[in-house]
Amino acid sequence: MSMLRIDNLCVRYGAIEALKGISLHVAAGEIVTLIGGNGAGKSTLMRAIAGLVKPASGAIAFEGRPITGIRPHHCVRLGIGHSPEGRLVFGDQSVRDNLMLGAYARDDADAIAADIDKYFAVFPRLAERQDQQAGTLSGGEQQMLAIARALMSRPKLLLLDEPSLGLAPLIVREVFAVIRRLREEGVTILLVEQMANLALAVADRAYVIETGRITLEGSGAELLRDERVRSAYLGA
Amino acid sequence: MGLVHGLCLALLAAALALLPTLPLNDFHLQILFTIGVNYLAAAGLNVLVGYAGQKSLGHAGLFAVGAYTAAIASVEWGLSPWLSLLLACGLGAVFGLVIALPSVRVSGPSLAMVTIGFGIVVEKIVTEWTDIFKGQAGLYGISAPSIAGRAFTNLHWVWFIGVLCILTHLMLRSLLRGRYGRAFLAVQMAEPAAQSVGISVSRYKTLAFVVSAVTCALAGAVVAQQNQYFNSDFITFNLSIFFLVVVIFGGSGSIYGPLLGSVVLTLLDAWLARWPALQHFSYGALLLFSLYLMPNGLAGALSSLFRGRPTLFDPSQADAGVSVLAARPPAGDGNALLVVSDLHKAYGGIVPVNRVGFTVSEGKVHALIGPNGAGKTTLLNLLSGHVAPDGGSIRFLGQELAGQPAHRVASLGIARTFQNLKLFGDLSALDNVLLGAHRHVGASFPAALLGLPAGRRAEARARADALALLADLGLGERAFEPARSLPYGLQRRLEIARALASRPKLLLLDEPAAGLNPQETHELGDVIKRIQAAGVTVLLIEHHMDLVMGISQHVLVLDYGALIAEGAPDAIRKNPRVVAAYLGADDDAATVAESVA
Amino acid sequence: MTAILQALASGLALGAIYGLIALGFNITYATTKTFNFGQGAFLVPGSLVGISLLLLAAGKPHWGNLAPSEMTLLSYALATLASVAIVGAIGVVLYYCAIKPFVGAGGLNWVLSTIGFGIILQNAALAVWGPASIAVPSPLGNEVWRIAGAGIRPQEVLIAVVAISVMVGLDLVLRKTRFGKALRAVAFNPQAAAIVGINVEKIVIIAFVISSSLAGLAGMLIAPITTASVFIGLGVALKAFSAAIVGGLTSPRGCMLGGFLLGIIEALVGLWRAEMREITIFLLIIIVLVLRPGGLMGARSVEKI
Repeated sequence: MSMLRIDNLCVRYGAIEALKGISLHVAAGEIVTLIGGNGAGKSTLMRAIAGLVKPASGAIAFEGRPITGIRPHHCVRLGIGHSPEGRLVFGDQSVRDNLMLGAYARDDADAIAADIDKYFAVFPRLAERQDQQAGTLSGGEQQMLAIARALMSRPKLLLLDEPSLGLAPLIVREVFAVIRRLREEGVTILLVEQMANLALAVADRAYVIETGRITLEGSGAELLRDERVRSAYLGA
Repeated sequence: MGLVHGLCLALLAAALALLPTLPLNDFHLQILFTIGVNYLAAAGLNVLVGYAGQKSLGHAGLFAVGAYTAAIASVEWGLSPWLSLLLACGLGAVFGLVIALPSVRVSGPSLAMVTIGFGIVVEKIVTEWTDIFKGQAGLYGISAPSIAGRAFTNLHWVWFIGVLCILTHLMLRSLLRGRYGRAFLAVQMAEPAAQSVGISVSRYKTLAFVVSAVTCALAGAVVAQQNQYFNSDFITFNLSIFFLVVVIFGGSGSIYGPLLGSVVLTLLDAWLARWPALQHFSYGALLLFSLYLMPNGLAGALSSLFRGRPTLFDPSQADAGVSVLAARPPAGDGNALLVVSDLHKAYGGIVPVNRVGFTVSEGKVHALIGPNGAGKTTLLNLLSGHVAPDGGSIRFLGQELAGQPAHRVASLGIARTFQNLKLFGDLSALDNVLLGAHRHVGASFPAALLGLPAGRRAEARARADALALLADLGLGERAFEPARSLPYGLQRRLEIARALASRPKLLLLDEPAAGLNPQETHELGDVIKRIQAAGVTVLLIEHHMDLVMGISQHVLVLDYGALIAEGAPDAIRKNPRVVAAYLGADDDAATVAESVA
Repeated sequence: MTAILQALASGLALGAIYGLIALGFNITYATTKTFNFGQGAFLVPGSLVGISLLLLAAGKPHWGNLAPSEMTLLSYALATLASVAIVGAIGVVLYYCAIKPFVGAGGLNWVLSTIGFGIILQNAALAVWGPASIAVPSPLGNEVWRIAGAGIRPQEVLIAVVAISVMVGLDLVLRKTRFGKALRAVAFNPQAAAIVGINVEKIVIIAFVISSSLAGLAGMLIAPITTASVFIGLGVALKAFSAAIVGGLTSPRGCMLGGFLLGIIEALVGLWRAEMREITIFLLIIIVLVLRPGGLMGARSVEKI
């Protein structure tokens, strides 16, 4: 059974149709990536799954249960974590408080404290800066924090939106190392990424999305070799 | 529309003329007079609130300025009532300027605070400063205008205010239907976009304050004269709110909103006066509920009932104008048009533009590429003046631009588009382009206010040129549709048309192909080539490599805030640093890049 | 000198009232970018409901005069709690009627809708209590206390103590508790708050309850000084609004600071010329805003292009 299944999803912003009938699925334990140009609708799709935008039509099901149009805080409780585009860390609160807020939907205080220690071990830079305001972190550190914050809800599915945005190549490499590590731990990930080759290299499967429609799908390796993908997104 | 408008005015004039034949008592005449007063105050306030988008909660203060000027000029200085009226308008304008000075610097709740503060200061001054303003005791014996020595009867007052209202309406209509009305709306809808076509936001806000102050002061002066008495009890916070309610309930941003608002609310007020408790309740309920039943006021609700025939595009209109794209200047000789050096901008720990320097040469298409978040849009914002740099210099045709406001940069000849479209959504495509040409529509304020032929000619010429440009870009058929109803691809193109209409020397395009399908992207390439042929230098941010490589002569690569390479497209394609930055420096990626190359 | 001391004391008490209400503006503004422009009307039930409860408890009709003996610290405290709860509940109604339909829609329609709600509330109070004012004895007695030669009214001390404790308490709640952090998260970015599992609307409703309760508390605290009537609210709330704007609507501590600043300036100017109080204050506010559009402690907002 798919962990996430989306059928014919349409999202409109006023007169603009951002998603024009998207269907896809993500199985448990998979990393699935969405690639596509700016404005293709990748982030809109992520936001629809997380409950931040209401679809005009279509259906989203998570673990077999329909979640179309439910409010975002319910999504988190069902097990969908979201590291959004632009990171959106709480800039006026400390790194530690950001992580605490990531566990807002949980009430197991001891396990939360243990998880914070766990992610401090994964991201040592965050441990060093745990009392610093999140807004003063560098872009890369903020990205790490956004991922760690999303993981603090112990999600079954992690939505990871543009984790390389605005980061130096060295930092991007670190972020992708973390993504691989998460896969080893069995976290299911839906990844939106502009660096198509990096994303395809780490993904089990991938979809190409253009102007609100899925135009191609296949395994990561297949799409890496696909002429159309290479000309459009790999700069070849 | 012109015909219907003339007919309505004629009917109104006829109705006024027939008043003596109707069985009206003084109470009825007083109500008619009050409708006129409220209309005067609201009509100007509508320019400020509905057009320029500045909510004022202190216009009772300006009403007081007019009333007390008329009163004191008459009682203390013995000026003629006519002169007093003029003086009231003049002082109203001065105080409009005074209140605008702090107001244009703030927005939202702070603006509300400044205007409330102004209203209260005036209220307290006229209450407490009894030597001059006589406080609650009031000023008696204010002389009223007369014609040929005959004092005004109540009927004459209604006629008089009727004439004032019609004149005010005609002037404001003429003003708002031309470049000034458009500029006010532009300021309200999207300040950055208004600045990008050379509109000084603070200047237009100030102008709107002054216009509203004059009509409000005139209303106050007429009330003082008709009453022949005025005291400080007139001036309350509630009066300020009432004026605002007339505008918003009637329909702010519609020329007829204040009329509807003043008629309905004055009548309602008079009718409910019998039950004072109910009167206040209904006032509160009106404020609370009318906004969600009729978000655009009475005028909005009525216009959605009677939607007029849409204006149709007539190609012959466009033939009369000249498209900006039709220009064929001598080819640019590659001189440096824009020289950027050491440009720097930091936001906290993030440095989107880190000591960047480059040159833009005349006549060429330049592309600025780099991964998302590399700082490209910030760089563009620095060039257009929408963001002030922390350091460095931007020289354009020998002038320093760093630190100049955006509208000034635009007026020097740099136009731009926005990554997240900033069209004036409720305005037609044509109006958007006319706003682009704002600086070139040569109608002066008096010409626009009085509807002088010079103003109308300038407007007609600009309109024809704008239609020609729209037709040239394949948007002619959609010229009269609201920008927000256009399909996304055409909205992107309309934004380019708006920028071009300002006749720039340098055009900055921020991801013009974002969200376009392959066909539209291809057409965009052609449009950019035509822009270049028309002698406009182009700097574009873009992701679509095909597009970038196909149309640009010079490519700049920005990564992590720093310029890492520049040169001809072919050289850039092969530059290993660019490949690494663009495709990711991961080992896997490096292998991929090699296999692809 | 004693006159100045006396003015400082009453300025402090008045400022504490402004600060309380201003803090209420901050809490809803931070979470929704709106606040109740008709807050003045919320002071009215704040004081009148409490007084009427005390009257009814003393076996009198709901409108009348309270004997000082019928006002003890305990009964005053209980009545205050009751009216704070009732005004807090009205805050929920306010949210659904006047805020929710307009929040996030841009524009300032919420300004007019909240003013409208306030007018309705005020007129409802007028229908119940009528226009006359009720003199309210202070639970600490009306005898003036002499401190360093200055005469200080006991109610002023009570106001300062209660208001400052509530402010310090709220400050701690906002900074230290899970709720406070969630509220600050909503304030920072509602969407980011939603994706970590915070029920944004619930937080917002609580913010309006707190804001309204603070206004109710202010009404009850100030009643022994100003008397209780349907008309006391507007002026006080307007000053509180000024305090919030001057201190910085986005900063809770700024709002409190603004309150005290305004109260003290008002009292000191009043020593000099009573009729110049409002004029001075509002001119000062306009000047502050021109120099610092975000207020003394507020953040400057930057529009993203």
